[in-house]
Amino acid sequence: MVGDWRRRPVGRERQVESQVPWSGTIGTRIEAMATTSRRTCVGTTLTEISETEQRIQANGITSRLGCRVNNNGYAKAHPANGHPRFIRESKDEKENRTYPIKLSKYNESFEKVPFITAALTHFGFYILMFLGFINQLLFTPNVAKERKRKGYAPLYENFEQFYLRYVYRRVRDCWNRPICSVPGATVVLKDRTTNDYGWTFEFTGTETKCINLGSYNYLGFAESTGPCAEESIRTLKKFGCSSCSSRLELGSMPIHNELEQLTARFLGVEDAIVFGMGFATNTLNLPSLVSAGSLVLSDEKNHASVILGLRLSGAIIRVFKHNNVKHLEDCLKKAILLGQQNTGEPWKKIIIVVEGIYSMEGSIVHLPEILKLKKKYKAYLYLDEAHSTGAIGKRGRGICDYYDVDPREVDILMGTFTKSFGSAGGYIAGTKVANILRNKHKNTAVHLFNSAFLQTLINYLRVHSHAHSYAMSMSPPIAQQIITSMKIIAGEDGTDAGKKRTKQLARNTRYFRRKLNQIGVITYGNENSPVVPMLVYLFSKIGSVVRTLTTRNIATVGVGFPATPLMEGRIRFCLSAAHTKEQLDYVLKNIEDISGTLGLKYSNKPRDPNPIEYYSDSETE
Amino acid sequence: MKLLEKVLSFLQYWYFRYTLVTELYMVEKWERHFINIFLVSLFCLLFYFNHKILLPATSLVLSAG
Ligand SMILES: Cc1ncc(COP(=O)(O)O)c(C=O)c1O
Repeated sequence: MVGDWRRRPVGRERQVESQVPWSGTIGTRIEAMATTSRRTCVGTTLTEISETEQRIQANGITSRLGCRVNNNGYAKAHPANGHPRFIRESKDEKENRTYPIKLSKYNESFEKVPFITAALTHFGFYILMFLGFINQLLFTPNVAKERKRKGYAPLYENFEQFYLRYVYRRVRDCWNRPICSVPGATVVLKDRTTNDYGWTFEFTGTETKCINLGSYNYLGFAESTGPCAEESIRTLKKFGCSSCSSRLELGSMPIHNELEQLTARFLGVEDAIVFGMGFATNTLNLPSLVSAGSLVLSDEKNHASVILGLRLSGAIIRVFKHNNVKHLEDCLKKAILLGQQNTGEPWKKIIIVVEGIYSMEGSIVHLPEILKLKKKYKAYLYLDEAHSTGAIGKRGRGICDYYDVDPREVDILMGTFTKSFGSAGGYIAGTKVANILRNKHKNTAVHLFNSAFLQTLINYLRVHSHAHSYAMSMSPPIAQQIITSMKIIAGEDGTDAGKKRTKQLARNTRYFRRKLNQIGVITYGNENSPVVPMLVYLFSKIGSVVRTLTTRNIATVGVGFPATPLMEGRIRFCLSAAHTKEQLDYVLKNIEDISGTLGLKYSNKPRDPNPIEYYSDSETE
Repeated sequence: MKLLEKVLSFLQYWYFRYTLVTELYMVEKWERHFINIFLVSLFCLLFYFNHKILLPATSLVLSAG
């Protein structure tokens, strides 16, 4: 080994330990740093070091360049003094970084909020807070109160309560709307009115049929007729509606095993495990995969279930900027160099947690780049495909299909059946992680640390997952709905009905998004994502847009704080394969109409002056 | 008469837009009046301040210079 890395100048050591002098300099390369980094390198990079071993001459010490990360640059010794040097990635290098995937797949847009709107949104929020405060002072809120609790500290009085009562309550009619039909391409709303500004509602007894742009019914499997419904009913008659026991006890049924095998086959991995609830799939399985001493790199916009699961696990969570691979790499580098927070010991393991399609942003994860990173740093990847399974990719197999990458490269594939399959529940699918580890880290400590992964992932979960051992097993008709719809998507039913659906969804998505761009509203996300958030920023605009669209027989969902940042209230359109072009045209015409009168045309992007084509079958691809 | 209607509807529309951007669209009537009166009085005070204090002061400075 290369020089004497123990005899390093004291100053340099301090630089490493005094919390990151290079933080924030995105694109810096950590060079001579490697001299001090040996101790703190996470176990998993040890092999990497020997693979990419390089020597650089820096101030007389020949050192091993352990944590060097860019392959396309060259190491440069600083001529003058012994300080580690950080070289900014030059423009050339930036451009030369190769993207294996067609750039069009990354085609996404996040337009900045106009300054005036930002200012007004803040101002408006202060007004609302102020009015809420006065309102609370003058009137007792029209809500239930705990009795016989005099002198107790309030149990559920917090800011959230205040927010719910004095901001959300005012536009509460736009959410949680009762429906009385299957939420397919259209939905029948049960009308209600309020006489006291949203505290209480009364049914008027009338119903409104609306075009449904609010359901995660991507492939249109929310149907009350057709093969899915029929088979579910048959299963219900055969197996009843519940086993009343957990999977680990008496609740396992052949239908669950069938579903698991089908899911694994559908996703192209070795095994899968299913749960009766999507939220719990994340929340209860993450703690059995990560623990204190592990590092989790979590995307900023991850779903609440993921965040809750990670918090329960006790692992250290570092949040990286939404879909920002560069920032993720910086976080990884930093974490690996510095090791655990106080002790500097290597992390037990590092897991990157991302989602496939982000339901609030409409963006698609940059999977190929993240996969590259994950391999380079030997971190695990947990991919939540709640919104992407079935909804995206040529064959409807989700993100891996979309980017044409091997699903086995993702260590842990998670997803839900709640969206595309028109059912409920979640799965975790994976391949034999153990082999990878066994071959690569025979002699390292990581072998022990990761003993959790030495069994195959799914078998491990079958033993250790709380959801598997304690939660009720999935209801058979629910499972049947998934099985039937999944078979249709995969084409295992012998028709091309599934293929048609995926195609129709892709077509609808492109068409709708392009049209919206043409109208001049700001939409977020990837142009292939069927979740289309339209930014309206202000609470009032969320309310007015949803209400106006309802009067025109269009049902949509608004999203505001706390589900989004305060500044970014939005209307979220969820497209479905069940929508026809005529329906979309009707919706678009109305959006165009109201975007003028309500002032939603925030976009500064150039608009396509040509009419947008709704692609015929041959043209989609 | 036509003109008056036009002006009225124009004003109404922009008042609506104003309530949208200040979030007054979604609040109760008295709250809306409360904020409107508050804003108007704030504006008046500002006007008064400018008229009575800022203007003489600046003119004093200017004439002295
Ligand atoms: C990314 C993500 N994960 C998990 C879930 C939870 O799934 P479920 O609704 O089936 O409980 C959701 C649901 O909205 C989600 O968006």
